Amino acid sequence: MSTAIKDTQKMIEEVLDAYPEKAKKERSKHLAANDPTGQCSTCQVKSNVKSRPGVMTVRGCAFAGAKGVVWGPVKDQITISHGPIGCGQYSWGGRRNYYNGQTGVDTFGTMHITTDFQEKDIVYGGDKGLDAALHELKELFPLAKGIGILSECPVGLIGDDIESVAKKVQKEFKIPIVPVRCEGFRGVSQSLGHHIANDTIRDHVLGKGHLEKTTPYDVALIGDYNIGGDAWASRKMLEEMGLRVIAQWTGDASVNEMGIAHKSKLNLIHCYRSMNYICRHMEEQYGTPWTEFNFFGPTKIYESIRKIASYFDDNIKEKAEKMIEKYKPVMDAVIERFKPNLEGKKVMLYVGGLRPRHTIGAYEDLGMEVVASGYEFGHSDDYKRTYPEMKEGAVIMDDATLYELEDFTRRLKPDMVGSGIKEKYSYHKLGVPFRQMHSWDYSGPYHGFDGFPVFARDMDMTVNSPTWKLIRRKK
Amino acid sequence: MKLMKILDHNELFLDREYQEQFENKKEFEDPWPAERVKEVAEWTKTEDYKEKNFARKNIKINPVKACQPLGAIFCASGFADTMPFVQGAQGCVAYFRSHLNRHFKEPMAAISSSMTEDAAVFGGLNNMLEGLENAYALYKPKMIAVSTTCIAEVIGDDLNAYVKAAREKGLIPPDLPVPQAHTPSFVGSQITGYDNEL
Repeated sequence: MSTAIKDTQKMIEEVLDAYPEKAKKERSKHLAANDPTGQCSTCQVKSNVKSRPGVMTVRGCAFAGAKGVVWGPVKDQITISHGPIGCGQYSWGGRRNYYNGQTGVDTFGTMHITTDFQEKDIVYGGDKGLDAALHELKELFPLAKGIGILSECPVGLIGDDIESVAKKVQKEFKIPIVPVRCEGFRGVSQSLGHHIANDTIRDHVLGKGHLEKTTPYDVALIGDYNIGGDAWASRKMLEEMGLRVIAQWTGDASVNEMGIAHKSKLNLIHCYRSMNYICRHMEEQYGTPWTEFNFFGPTKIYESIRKIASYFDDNIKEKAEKMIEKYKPVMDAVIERFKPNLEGKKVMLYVGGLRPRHTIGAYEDLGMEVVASGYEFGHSDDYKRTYPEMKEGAVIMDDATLYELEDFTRRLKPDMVGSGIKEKYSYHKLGVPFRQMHSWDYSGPYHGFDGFPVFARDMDMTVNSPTWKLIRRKK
Repeated sequence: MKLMKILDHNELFLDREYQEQFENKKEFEDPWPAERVKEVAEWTKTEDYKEKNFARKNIKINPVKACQPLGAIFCASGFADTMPFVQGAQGCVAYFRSHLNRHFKEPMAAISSSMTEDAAVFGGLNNMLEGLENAYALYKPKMIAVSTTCIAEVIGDDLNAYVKAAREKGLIPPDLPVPQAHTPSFVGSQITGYDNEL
């Protein structure tokens, strides 16, 4: 075992000392020193198991995964937060999924619509109210292409039968009414919510859309939620290389696109964690192959473009090379401009589905090093994809707690931390440059050739802002 | 240093190439005809729409109201060295923390007992015991202020007995104040939650 790994392991042990015995034993399985070769047996983290109570986990729930991530961005569907008032309120407009359309008329993405359960609904059940609510919605929003019923905890606990309500109303309205059993107590994190949502897409909308004609170049862009316009930047590139993007899942998506993705010749998946389920289904059911790609930072972008092109004929391959040729000078100029400011800076990441590994290449293009990275809700297949991307001895964290994050920050002294809103202001108080890497800190896009310049600018702005010098950083 | 013009989401998508992309994407969106959208948009400005909108009873649209535990942990955060502790599912607490962080632009700590399906069936005693033990060990608060979410209320967790059990087992000091408030989401709003906690 190398000294880098040993040093990191020692540090992890010291951090874990603060825990009581039981929690310490449990948490020690989720933190490891990275071994890119995958040979060190103690360097694999355990993942996708229950969080310990009382440790301030950063994780959310199945509802967050299903409503906030997968179903929420579908723009011409009304998404009901079915249950008490809170869940819908807190997941309202937090993810910056951009879309085109007239909100409240033919699109409903940024609206918060809820059945607002009261005590009587808990006692007598909420099915009747739901039925009436669906009718009221149909009257006010006649152009809705579908309605999703996203269940919150009490709906599952009291045993409401939302499926039969949905079935009955669907017959009447002739649009998909999708019951989603994503109660927050299910599973251990957002991850199960993604899976449940994928299953409901499969059962209620996939295969039911209308597409005039198909071409040999049809692809579907899966697992891109259009944060700050990410999916649009990716789509632009795919179109430029001669492909026809028939569906965008689920950023700026319409119900029809959800229904025609199975007609694509290749499914391109960006966020593997949240949408691999549906890709596997389409592979089994329709024989559609799928491939993962990474549109963060030029190195990974070139690699991904060539990988995608390899599935198609010479025409596409040529166009792909031409596109790389066209944008390479632009990318080089961005690197030339920002790399001197960022060279050698250390980054610590703790994010969600794909960013803990996908953004590493973009940081490295700018000369930065990712010294620690972790997933809120990753599974072992995510970690297997992460180990080779990171340096030996880097810290790998699964379901890290705020305590661990802060302690690692004190010890590793990163020049920048990328995580979420819940961590942002504690880091401000610690005097550590911080960027929200879920919502791009109200910036973006970061995907593709149009996104990388914004990414580079934002990282420079974060790390080198003179503001940080005004805050006394604890030594 | 060479200046570089970088277009982000504010301007980038106004570009002709993107505008054409949006137009072409409609082929797959199966959108309503533009006249129909316009017609409905006009209708939403009429008295007829207003009456229908005012008449609705079963659905809330864009309500400016949140739920009790949000108010409860906000209240608890105001006391010195106090850790808000929520007996319930962890997603709720992640939401409260996001919401309060975003709103006040200040760090907001709150602990969840991470109840899942098994706790929904067997009760949240073990979650509370381990939760109190871990929270006290990590943060050494001078008070732990407990509130609840839907799940604990629907299954009827007995907070008083749980806290007593935690003291008896020596997981928290016998004199540590642990006030408890019942704050289910399906009653009142964040205002009542604040009052209940207080």
